[in-house]
Amino acid sequence: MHYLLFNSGIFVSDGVNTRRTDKEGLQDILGPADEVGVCVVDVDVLIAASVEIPVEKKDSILVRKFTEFYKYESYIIQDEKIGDNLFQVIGIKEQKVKEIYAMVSPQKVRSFIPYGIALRNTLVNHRIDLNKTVVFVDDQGSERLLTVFDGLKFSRTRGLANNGEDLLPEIKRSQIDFAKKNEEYLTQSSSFVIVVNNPSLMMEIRNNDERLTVECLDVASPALEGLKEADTHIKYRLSEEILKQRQELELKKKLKTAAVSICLVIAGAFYFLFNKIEQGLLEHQYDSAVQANERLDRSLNIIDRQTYREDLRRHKSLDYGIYYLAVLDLIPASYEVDSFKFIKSDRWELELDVSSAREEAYDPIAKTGILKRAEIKDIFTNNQPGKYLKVVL
Amino acid sequence: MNRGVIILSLFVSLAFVHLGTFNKSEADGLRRKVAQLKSDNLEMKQEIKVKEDMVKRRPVPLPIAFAAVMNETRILESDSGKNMNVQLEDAKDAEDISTHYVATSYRGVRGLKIKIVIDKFSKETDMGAVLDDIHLLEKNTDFIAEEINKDSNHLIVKGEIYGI
Repeated sequence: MHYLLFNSGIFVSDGVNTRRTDKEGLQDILGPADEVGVCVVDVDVLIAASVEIPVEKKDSILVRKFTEFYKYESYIIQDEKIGDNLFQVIGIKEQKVKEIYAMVSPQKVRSFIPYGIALRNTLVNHRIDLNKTVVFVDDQGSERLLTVFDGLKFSRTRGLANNGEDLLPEIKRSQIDFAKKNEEYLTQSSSFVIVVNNPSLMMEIRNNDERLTVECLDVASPALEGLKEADTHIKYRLSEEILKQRQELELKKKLKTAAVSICLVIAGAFYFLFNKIEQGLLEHQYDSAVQANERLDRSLNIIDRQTYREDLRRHKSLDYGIYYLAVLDLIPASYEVDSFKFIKSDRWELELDVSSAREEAYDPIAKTGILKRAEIKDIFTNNQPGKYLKVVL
Repeated sequence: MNRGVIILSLFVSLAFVHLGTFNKSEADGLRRKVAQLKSDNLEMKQEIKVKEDMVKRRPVPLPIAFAAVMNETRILESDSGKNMNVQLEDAKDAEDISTHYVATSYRGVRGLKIKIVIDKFSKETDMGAVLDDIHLLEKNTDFIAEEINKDSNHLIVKGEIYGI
């Protein structure tokens, strides 16, 4: 991960060491897979009031106000909320953004923020009280950058060549310009704190005016330091890049839709095909079974015609006369047979109705021999007492 | 657009599911039929296996089997002196017997249901001998009795003649 500060030159930090480079040198420093955090000094800032929602309306109002103020150049604009219905609108010239993206591939840029936000992160991290107006002097050696902070608000950064002149008038001018420009949004107080990142510069300012509060921040590149924790929604991008990203997003959406649609159709088609194949297999099995059935039926037809007489012969084993006489032998002579019936079910059954010949009532019939398991009932038949017998043969 | 595509694919999917469900119900029906056929085939195979071991006899046409029954009853009549009246079951004598052929439990074998009415009994009639005659009739022909019913006046033998 590299951190880049774009001003008149380019400052590059690998997180530990910082050095100045140019466009060509930057390509050598950055590896093909390196991600970068970018901050840009040359920004224009406007505090503007607007409705917060809907977002489209807020954006429209802020763009209109910013464009009214900076109408001569094309800007890429981002905003941050700094109060109720109050926004800080920060624009970077489109040409500048294009130049940077020409040097660094958009895919590599993780964050792209204004210098003021990066610096503000560092001030907050070092517990500099931004409830007061703070003028920060970033001593970069040949150049000194002046930025005024008040709360979340910050000014346009002024770059001054380090030519040994007294810096205090420029600091005061920056503070006054900032106060004038944002007077309706600032607390009316002329006091301010000066923060520098160079101890000798601090002493120099103190010597010029002992009443001033001057603090020193021991950070060589405070903006690059703050860029490490660029926790903001702000990221400057080219409209072409946004369009490309939207197209990619749209394509992803379409692919997702296509995938879902295909999955749905495949799931349905799979269910259909599975059952269709199973039906086909079963139809084949059914045809085979039908053919086998017809073949067996023909065979059975032939064999039945050949064996039915033998089968009939086997079922004619009952000699009715012998069984009938065997039953009669066990019935007392006092009974006469009125009727009988041989009935074929699973086995042959013989039913007899006998009546008393001598009008004597119900001579007992012994359950012996063939009558051992017979069903015997007393009945009244032909005006005579009698018996009903049922014998399974 | 995207939603439209998904809805369209959902409809297509539902159409496939509908067709699949139809095929599934058809397949379930076929599965039951196949199981039934296989079970029937198994039974038939077992039946064939049993019948293959039985003595094979030349099948007899049903009119000839019927004639044989008629002939046998005439002989029994003349031997015993009893009147044995052969009738088609539930039909008049004058009818064409071929219209009364019925299917039997034997494949390719038809049956003719008849009843033999024997009357003019006395108390002295040897009923055992009458029943022996019926058994003899069964043994000598392709007739098999299913019911023998004797009341005070008649003895009626119901049965079936088998033939091809």
